[in-house]
Amino acid sequence: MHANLNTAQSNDQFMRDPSVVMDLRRLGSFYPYKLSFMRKLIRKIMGQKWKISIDHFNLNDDGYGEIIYDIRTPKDRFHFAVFSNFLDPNERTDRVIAEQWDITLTLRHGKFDQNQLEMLRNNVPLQEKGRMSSNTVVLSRANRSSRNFDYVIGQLSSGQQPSIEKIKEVGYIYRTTAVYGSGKFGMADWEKVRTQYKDFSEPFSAEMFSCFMIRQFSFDQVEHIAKIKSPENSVALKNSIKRNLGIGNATGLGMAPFLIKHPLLINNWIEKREKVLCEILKTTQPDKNSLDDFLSLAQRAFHHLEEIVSENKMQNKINKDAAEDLKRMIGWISKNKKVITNWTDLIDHVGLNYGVETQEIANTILIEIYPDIALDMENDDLIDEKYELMPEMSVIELQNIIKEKYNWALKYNFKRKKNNSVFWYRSEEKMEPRLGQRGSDEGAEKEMLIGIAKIVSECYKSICSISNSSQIKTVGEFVFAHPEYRKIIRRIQTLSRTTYGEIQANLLEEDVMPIHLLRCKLSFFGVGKFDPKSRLWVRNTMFQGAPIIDDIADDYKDDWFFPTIQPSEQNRNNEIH
Amino acid sequence: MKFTRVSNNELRAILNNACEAFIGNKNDFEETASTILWLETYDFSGIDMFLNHLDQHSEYNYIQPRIIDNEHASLIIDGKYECHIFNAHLISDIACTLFKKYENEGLAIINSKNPEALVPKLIESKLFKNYLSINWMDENYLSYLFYRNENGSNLIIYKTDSELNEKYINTVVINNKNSHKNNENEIFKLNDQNKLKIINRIQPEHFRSIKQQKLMDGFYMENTKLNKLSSIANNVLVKSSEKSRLGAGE
Repeated sequence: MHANLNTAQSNDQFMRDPSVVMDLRRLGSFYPYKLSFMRKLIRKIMGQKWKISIDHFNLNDDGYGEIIYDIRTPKDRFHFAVFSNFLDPNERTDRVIAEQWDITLTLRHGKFDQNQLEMLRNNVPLQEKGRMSSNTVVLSRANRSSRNFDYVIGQLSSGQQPSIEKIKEVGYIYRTTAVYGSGKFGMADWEKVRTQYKDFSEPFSAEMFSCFMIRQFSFDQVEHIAKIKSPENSVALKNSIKRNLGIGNATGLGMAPFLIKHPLLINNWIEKREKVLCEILKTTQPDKNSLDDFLSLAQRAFHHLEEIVSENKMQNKINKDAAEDLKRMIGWISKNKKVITNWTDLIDHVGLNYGVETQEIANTILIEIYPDIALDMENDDLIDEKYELMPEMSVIELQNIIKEKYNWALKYNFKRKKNNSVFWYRSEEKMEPRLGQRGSDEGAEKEMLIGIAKIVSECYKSICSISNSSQIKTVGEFVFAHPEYRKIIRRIQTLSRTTYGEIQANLLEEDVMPIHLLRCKLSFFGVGKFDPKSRLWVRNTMFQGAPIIDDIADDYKDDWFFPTIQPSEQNRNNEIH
Repeated sequence: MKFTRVSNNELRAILNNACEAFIGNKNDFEETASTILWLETYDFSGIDMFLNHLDQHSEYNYIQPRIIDNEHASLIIDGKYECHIFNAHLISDIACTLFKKYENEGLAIINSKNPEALVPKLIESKLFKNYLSINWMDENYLSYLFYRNENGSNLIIYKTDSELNEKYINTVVINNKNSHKNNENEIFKLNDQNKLKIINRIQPEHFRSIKQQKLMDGFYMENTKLNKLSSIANNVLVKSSEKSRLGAGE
């Protein structure tokens, strides 16, 4: 029988066990992969050759004003409106609680006229305080990178391209700080988007597209300002440089409760990734070409890690260790190329000899070199996120399910202070999720239900305390007497039919690392270059290496995986206006 | 009156928070929120029901319905005049499990308050998948029938002024076996065919279109009501301070 697959076994010998996959540290080591939402979106835009053009351009000499983009998909039409306003640099913050931004923007369905523009001017810059129409799909905002914005304009206006070294430091001109969809502030409900605006029927695709368009706006705006500053000398940003520029993002704790509240969705995302990996292990074998491809991508991943600039010591160590591991792994594969006869041996070797980060990089590379297998599973199965109680189930069966599926949760002793040291709550400031210290911070009585392990343990104890002579035999009877456990029981029952829904960690413990949850979700979005600012929030880069709008007419090679910046590009001739 | 249009998801989020703020961990607040949203979607004033309850009760306490009889044809439950938005899911749960155990064919709830709040949970229940009729009379002697036949698509509500016996006031009669030849006219014979006057009859198409319309365009909410609901929802939020800002990573 086969040995480990990163150390534990599930029923299918090639599917990894949830105790391995759903470990918080491992989830925090996931990288974007072939089916990440941004990759899927770009494949769609390029494949269907969407037509994106400027419909209305009204920026003043300083770049303030608005641009409206017209987006034509094969069967539909959308508009993307960006409003740029002066922002005092002292007011510039990544926090969701900010009240002003450099730019605010919206994606909306349908045609566009002057009245609608006026309505948007009055509401979009207000963000959470405004109201949007029911054909609005996304509302967002972004701030300039204080390091790159003026620098890029300065370079372009003096006829120079920005230096590659600078782009390595910060790979974007704008950074989003919140992207809203799904019916917020009166916008179109997700159900409407999914069924009526089918170009964005994949989860988060409209949000990702809006970020893609912010990237385009950043190019159009800096080129415009540079040209006004120096009409004679300025140059346009080279397309090769544009591709190296992504869009920044700052993500905070808000993503963590999302993962806990939508376990069926999370199960779907993770299970799909695991199934692709499993299918590859089951049905393919390494040969010279595929091993060369693997090595080439491992080299690229190595350079990608080397290029990440972060002030965070922990992240730098993680990247450094992973890069060293990759170097060793590349050496080992090169040396043993002729004797590696199946992928499982390689993956097991990586599991036994290198860190979690490297293990996940290896898995991601493996998926990348078999695109057909991944793309076969590309179409999303619709998830009906219902967590229904099964009242007729016996309490003994429920007890057994908890023992089997939530064994990890029952291991914690919540009487120990360290296991119940923090609580999660929503602040009155824009409902921002925050972490509090139990016993010293205010708000524990309004704690969010994030500590799944603790609630499961309490429920289990209550079930175990039912005496044999009790009338309570079924779940329906139990919750009739104990409605306080109904919500957790329907979650347990629903997830008992899934493999990867529950994150196997106590999120109330003293040294909990929410950053792992953020990174897990971001990896499915397709985000890279993680730059944690603390254990609670992270900056990152989206769409770096992705095609730009000018590329849409060309043939597309889906190859912006572990993007790296090519040093030779800075030496090419400047393109003149 | 001024109105604000809110999306379906937006209203769901406000209701979830409002129900969490009021009920907390004492019951399944999400189920109460979804019941209210269903009632609101189909114009049964779920939010008014919730706000009225809060006007009369400063805090939530679970009042467990009492099972009076479970061993005869009908399971009989005393609702203790607790608004059904708070216990419809539990009544549906217990009916599911006891019907199986005692082979009941019907359910009667005495001392029932806001019987329409039972509808969304009962129609979702597997127990009533093949047939469901819910019959009740309000304080104004108007009788109501919610009826769905075995193919699950025939969703009709009648409101009549048929003269049922006064003893049926605040009593709900629910059946899951079609003992009436699957014919709505036959059901009304049980009431009083001669005096029957249908005041309002909602066809299944109406149910479907009204839901679709709310999903596409959202809800137009009276501002006073929306503000009241939002202010209850905001009770889940914690006051901000310099120290609390650190809890988000500043």
